[in-house]
Amino acid sequence: MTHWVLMAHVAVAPFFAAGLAAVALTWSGVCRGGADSPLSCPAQVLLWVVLLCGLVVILSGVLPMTPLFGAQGQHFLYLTHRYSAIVLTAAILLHLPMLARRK
Amino acid sequence: MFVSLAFWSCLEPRHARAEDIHTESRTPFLHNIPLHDTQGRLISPPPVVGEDGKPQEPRGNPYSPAQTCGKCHDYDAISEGWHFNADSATFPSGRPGEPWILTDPATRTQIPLSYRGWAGTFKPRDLGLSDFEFVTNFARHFPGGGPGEPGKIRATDPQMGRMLVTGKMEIDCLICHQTTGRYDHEARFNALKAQNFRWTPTVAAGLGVFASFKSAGSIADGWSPGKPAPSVLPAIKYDRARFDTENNVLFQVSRRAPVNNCYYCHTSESALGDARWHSDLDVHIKAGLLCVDCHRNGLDHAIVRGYEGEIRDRPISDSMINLRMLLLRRDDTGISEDDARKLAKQKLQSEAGQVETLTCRGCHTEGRLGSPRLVHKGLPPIHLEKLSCTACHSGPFPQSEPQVVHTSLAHKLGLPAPERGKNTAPVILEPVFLRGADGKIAPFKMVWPSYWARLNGTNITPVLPAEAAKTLTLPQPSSDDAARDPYNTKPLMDRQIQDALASFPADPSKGQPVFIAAGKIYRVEKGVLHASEDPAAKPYAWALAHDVRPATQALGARGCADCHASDSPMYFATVAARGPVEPTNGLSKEMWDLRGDDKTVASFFAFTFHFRPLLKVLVFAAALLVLGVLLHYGLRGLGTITAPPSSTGKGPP
Repeated sequence: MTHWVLMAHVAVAPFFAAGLAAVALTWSGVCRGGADSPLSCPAQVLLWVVLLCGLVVILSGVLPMTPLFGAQGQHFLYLTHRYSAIVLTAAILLHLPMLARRK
Repeated sequence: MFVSLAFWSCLEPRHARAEDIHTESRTPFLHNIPLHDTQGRLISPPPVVGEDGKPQEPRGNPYSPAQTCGKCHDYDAISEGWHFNADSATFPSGRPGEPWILTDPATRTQIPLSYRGWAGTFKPRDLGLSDFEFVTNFARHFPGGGPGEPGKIRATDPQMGRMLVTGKMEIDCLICHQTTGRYDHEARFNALKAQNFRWTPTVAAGLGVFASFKSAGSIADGWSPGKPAPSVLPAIKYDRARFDTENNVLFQVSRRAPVNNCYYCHTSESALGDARWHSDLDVHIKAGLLCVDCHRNGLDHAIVRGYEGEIRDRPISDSMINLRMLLLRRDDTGISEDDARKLAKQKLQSEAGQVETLTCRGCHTEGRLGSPRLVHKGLPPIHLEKLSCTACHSGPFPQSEPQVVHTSLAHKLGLPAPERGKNTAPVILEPVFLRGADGKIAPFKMVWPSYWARLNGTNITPVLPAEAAKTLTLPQPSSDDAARDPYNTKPLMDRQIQDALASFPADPSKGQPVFIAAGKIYRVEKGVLHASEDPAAKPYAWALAHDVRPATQALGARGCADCHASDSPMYFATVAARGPVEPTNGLSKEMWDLRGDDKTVASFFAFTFHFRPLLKVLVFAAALLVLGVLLHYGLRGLGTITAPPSSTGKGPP
């Protein structure tokens, strides 16, 4: 990823991070596992997967910008960013239809 | 009396094979050895007093490195090494390197030359420059061999035939391998200027002096093939103290050439004049390494140049295959010649793979020679894909404009001359960040050709300085100017260029007279001088790798803004073409333009770095919130799972 695509990718990052934080604050209570939740159990689990993967995506994206990791660590973070983003995308795609079928 | 010089030995095509005698110890062999002349005859100074009771001068033929060193070291194999094989079509040209630059301040000529055919250089023969002329122009830093030592001298060739008198320019092993620091480059230069090629190694090594200085070149001027051999040629008066009682001479030599020997040809200095003391030198040298610790070679003298992918450019020479075959067949008498040849080639190719571990990346990945492993904290991995190691670590720290650099080959460093300045031709700039053949950005040195020429269609034929000086009307500096400015650095004005172009001998069939300089081609059309960018005027660039700066002074050590800022040199430094014209007349481009990059992308990307701290704060804050939520509910969930059952529960108490 280079040039404009990379810049667009990075430009979206803060909005994604803020959005994820908003989801965490507003939806976590709903998905805490209580019987009164309007969401099905798999949907609740997927939300936590989304939050967890989102956190990994955020951190593996921003930590390379700090002088904490060397070449190997950077490469590990890069791969982590890539694969956690894939899991995150899959979790969101599975989660969305479940939202439509709320209790 | 003079010892007769058997110059017909020059006709002998090859040298005797080296004797199969080796010490194979890490202790250097004491080279207390006899000297031999070009015919292989032992050199022994006559007794101090002759039979007639008169004192005798220790006169003799000059020693021949090929015959003396070649007794034990296979000279033919050595002569195929990188420093000597440029004119051989057998060897790949490899990554473009520093060219020879034919420089003549009087005619404002600077033409990059190379026998290797690197794009942007001229092959000397294509310019009409014979091998002999090439050697006489560049012998000062040319180690011998190659064009200086043709296999067979054509006596009828008016240029090369002179070598029957001057001798060939054999490879002078001591230039690189002597460790005394007493090799006299100035004496060598003076001898070479007089075309005393055969005598040069002896004089430069300090083994003797010219008995009475004569110029073999002058003698050759008055001699032509077919005439009787000149009877009076230079002779060497040897230093008796150098010979022991058995006529052996001690050579203090090392397989591992000292750094200062390499520097004679490979000095590259951008801190000019008195500012040279500012230079830190290469971090590896400061750490105690020698150049040859990385730039290694075997007997074949195929020096490791040290760039990634070099293995593709390293052929296995027949000489080395033959030598290895001999060893294999001696150790295994049952092996056939064909099998031995195949096996020898396989083994040599396998060993050649070592060169990849001697690149920057190879060495610092393998940790060879105690090199620190790559760390690059905070550097996203994409940088290692897009940049060469040298981009951040080599050459002077980039500034808003590349700096003028002097090199040994271009500026005759190592030889006494009036102080060279920033306008001394040829003007070479560094670092210029271009893309290498591997697509990675790397720092380069850059020189712009400058010469008078004829343009016929798209063919351009440079006019060599000697002819230009004879036929063109060029401004002559006054004697005051010449004294003040020995390098004739005064730029040519448009009017002067036009006058010179007008003075070309009229011959439309040969093409239109043009002048190439500072990235442009000048021509007169309808009485008006026009200058325009032209492929023929494109600069020649070659990768630079030294001096290497330590990690703490690498590009990026001060932060991302070293490269990603609106004024970062890697993208926005101005590279003004340099040549013998008014500085404002030359072509001027920024680095991104020279590389063919997109300025908008580079500028915008640099602009985004203003927001990077904010981005980090926002993203970390969001991450903390999400982490807080995850921990909050995670711990609550954990508490629920691990909590003891309530009194109303059905579980055990």
